[in-house]
Parts: sequence; C-alpha cells; structure tokens
Amino acid sequence: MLFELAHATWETLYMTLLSGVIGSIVGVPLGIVLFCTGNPKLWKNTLAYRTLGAIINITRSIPFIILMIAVIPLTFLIMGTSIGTTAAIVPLSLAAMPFIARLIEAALHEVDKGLIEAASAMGATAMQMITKVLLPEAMPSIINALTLTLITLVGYSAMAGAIGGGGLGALAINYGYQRFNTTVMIETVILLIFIVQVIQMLGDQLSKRLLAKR
Amino acid sequence: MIDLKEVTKTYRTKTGSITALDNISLSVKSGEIMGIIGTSGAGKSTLIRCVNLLERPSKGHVKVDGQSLCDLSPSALRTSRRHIGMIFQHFNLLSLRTVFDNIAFPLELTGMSKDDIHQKVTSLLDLVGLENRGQHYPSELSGGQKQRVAIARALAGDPKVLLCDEATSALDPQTSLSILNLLEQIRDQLGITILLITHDMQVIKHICDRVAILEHGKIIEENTVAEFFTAAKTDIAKEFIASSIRQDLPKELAQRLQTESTDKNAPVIRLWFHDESTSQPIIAGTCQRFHVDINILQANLEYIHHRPVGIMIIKIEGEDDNINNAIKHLKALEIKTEQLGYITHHVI
Repeated sequence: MLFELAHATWETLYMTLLSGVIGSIVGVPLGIVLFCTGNPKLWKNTLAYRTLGAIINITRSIPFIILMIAVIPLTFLIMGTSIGTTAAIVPLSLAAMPFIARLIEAALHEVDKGLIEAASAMGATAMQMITKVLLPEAMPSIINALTLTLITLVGYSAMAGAIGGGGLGALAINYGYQRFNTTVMIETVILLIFIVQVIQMLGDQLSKRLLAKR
Repeated sequence: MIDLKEVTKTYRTKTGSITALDNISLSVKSGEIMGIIGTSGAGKSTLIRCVNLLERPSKGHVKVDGQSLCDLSPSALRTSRRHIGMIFQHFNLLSLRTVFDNIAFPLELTGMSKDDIHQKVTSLLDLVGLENRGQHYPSELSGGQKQRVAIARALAGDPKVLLCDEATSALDPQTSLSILNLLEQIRDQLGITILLITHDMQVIKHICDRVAILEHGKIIEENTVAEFFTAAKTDIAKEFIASSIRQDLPKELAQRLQTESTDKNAPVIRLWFHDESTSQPIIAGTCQRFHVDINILQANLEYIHHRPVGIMIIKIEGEDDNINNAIKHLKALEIKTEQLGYITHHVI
C-alpha cells in the first residue's frame, strides 16, 4: 500500500505541475494579450478583447468533469490515449489556461497606471513595457495567481481520477470509496492536504520575498 | 524650445464631448522655467501631456526643439520622447527596482552598455544628492528623495526639456522647496527648459520666469512672474496672488473702510515696493518732508523669483494739504500705489 500511496502522490504532482506549466505557457501570454487589448496605452482593440474575453468565460463556465469528458477526442488525438495520468494532462491544461489568463489580467490591472504612463513618456515600446514594467511590477500577484492555479489543479487532478486519470484521487475512489477502505481514504486526503499546504507555503514565501522590497 | 500652436483637445463621452483644451498657443524659450497654474479641472494635466503626446491633441501643432511631434511615426516619437524628461506628482518609480536600477531604466530601453549605464547613473545620483542611496528600494526613501530619483531618471536621456506634472504637490512645504531648488539648479547647470504645472502659487513664486493661467481649457493670462504679481489683470490671477501673498487689510479693519473723505478719517493706501525701493527709507522720508504721520496697518515682504517685493498698507494723518502732497510724492516714486479708502482716526 505504501508503494501505491507514493506512486499516486507522484502521479498527482506530475499531473498538477505539468498541466500548470502547460497552462501557464498559454495562459500567461493570453492574460497579457487580454490586458493589453483592453488598455488604450498599449494594443487597445475592443473586438479582440471582447472575443478573447467571451472564449475565456465560456471555457471557464464548463464544469471540469464535463470538460474532461468533452475533450476526450482531443486528448486521444494528442496523447494517443484517453485514459491514464498522461491523458489527464490535456483537460487539466485546458482548464488551467483561461483560469490563469484571467488571474494574470487581474494582476496586471493592479500595476499603477502612472508607471505605464511614465514608461510611455520615456519612450518604451509596448514589448519593453510588458517585460520591464508590467510583469516585474505584477510579479508578486502573478506568483499568488500561479499558486492558486496549482492548488486548484490538485483538486481537479483528484477529479481526473474518477475517469481513470490516476493519482491520489483515483486511489481514494478505488480503494477508499469502492472498497470501503477508510484508512486509505484518510491517508490520501492527508497527503492532498499536505501537497496543498506545501504549494501555498512556497508561493507565499516567494511573493513575500518580493514584497519585502516594496 | 516648446511651441504649442492652437492646440485643442476634446474628449468624447457618452453625454457629448468635453473640451479639455481650447485653442492653446504657448511658447517656452530655451532655458526658461515656465509655470502653468490653474485650479483642478482647468486642463493643466492634459496640457502638459500634450507636449510629449501622452495625450494627442485633437487639433493644433506641438513642436519641441524644432521637431513637430504630431507628424512623427510611432517609433520616431518614442525616440523623441527619450529627449523629453518628465516627472510626476506620485513619482511613478518602479517599486521592485533599486534606486540605481530605476535611474538606469530609460538607459536600458535605449540598449546602452552596462558600463556606460553605470557611469551615467553614478553621475546622476551625484547630481541629485543621493550618492549613497543607489542600492535602496523606493519604499525606503522619503517623498523628497523619491522625487529626486524621478528627476535623475528624467535626466538620464540628456533631455533638453523637462516636464513637471505637479512635481511638488505631494510633498510638505520644506521638501517641496528643496525640490524646487534642485530643479532651478539643474536648469542653471544644464540649461534645460522646464515646463511645470501646479496649483500652488509658491512654486510659481519660487522658480518660474514666466507664468500662464489656465482656466476652463484656456490661457487667460500670461506674463513674466515679476510683472504678474504686481499687474495681474484677471480676477482669477488676483485670487491666486491673494492666496500666496498677504496683501489685504485684516478683516476687522477692512470692515471699517469708508469710501468718502471726512475730517474724522484719513486715507488708506497700499504700496508695492520692488527691488531697490524695498531698501529705501521711503516712509520715514515722507513723514519728515511733508510733516505727516504714517501708520503702518499691514506690511509684508516677499521674495518673488529671488527678488524682494514689499506690500504695505498705510494710513496717512496730518493737514489735508500735507497729506495730498505726500500722496503725490509717493505716486511719483518707483512704487505702485493704490488708494483703498479712508479709515477713522481712533481705530488704531
């Protein structure tokens, strides 16, 4: 059982982290584009902003368990299989993308408008504005946003266990729920709590270290 | 150095359009410090943003250092902006960068080498008096120090023009004064042209060579600062002056002013002294020569742009002929006189 617990923990971490990374690779730029197309000092484009916003809202309103099933054909296309830990990464990443995009947009909104104006007065290009002003200034909030995303993904990955995704969620369902093994159930829950705690702690520390300068 | 020609800025809103700037023409000479004063909502901040096109005028032309900015391509405009420094009321420093890195920021944008940046930033830190603060973060500095960092940052691109957007409004009076002194020192050392906006007459009084009053998007009065204080034309200008120089009778006395001369009262006269006349014994001289008594009801000496300006309100008592001769004598001097009315003898 110990081996199974360790293996399931590894699977949960693997799903969470990998889909977090893939989700960020798409979600962070998406959030930046969302912010910039909504800002008259940058790439103001109302049509693009509204279209992107609508797509993000639609994907975010689909319950994860439905999304997971709905994207099975896509998962099969990309991973060659629609069950297992690796397959779960596709719906998890897809769910993370719009979530991250909105959080990044919100984080960028927190940056003082005066800084954008000052950089603009200094002749910064839009790209320099993003890389040298917006992202660094929003970094503490961005780290908080990514921490929140990872924790949400831990929860989602447990759900992925319900349709053969593997990880601690699958263990809890297969052993704890279906075989009435309360011990395993409690052990998985404790492990999940532990993972969430560690992620939160690391995120807090990182953003606190940056905020200490401010 | 800065030339605005017929600049108009209108904003469209849901309820119609708002004219923030209405046909403004303004020119600032090289090396000059020009102040624009106005109440909030007068359009000051839109006006100063039109100079570097942070706000694009709806109509009109903007020329800085001979270059017409409105016609430039976006990338040419960015290059020009690097030679127009700007500082702000709330400093707008990058909070997660050190003082050094904040000043280096505009230089990084131009792709300058690390060594050159180091040299330039070090000399700028010297210039603004923050030699030992390079590795501090903005949060560790006082408001005045933050504005010094912002000034150093604005000077990094060797600008010919510095725009100051309410640069001292968030500072206490003493700190504000030290920042104004720094700006003046920079103008004297680097020959930079400064355009500033403010709602505070002290700023105008302290460092400006010329002043323009902005009201409802229009420049309603423009003059050299020295003449502005003694010969303001519009009511708003007079109000601004009154807010910064005590020039009226105290309320208790003002209420007793009479408009007609009788044998129970004496004339009350306001005198404005300038430069040399502030150091001459005009009052004592007049008393001796015309055998009149002069009572000083109110007196004030101010320094406007480093030149003394004295304001005195006096009451002249004595024989009628002597009083008339004394007033004639005062009017013939190099001082401005204004008769305010008459006041009864026993008041003081």
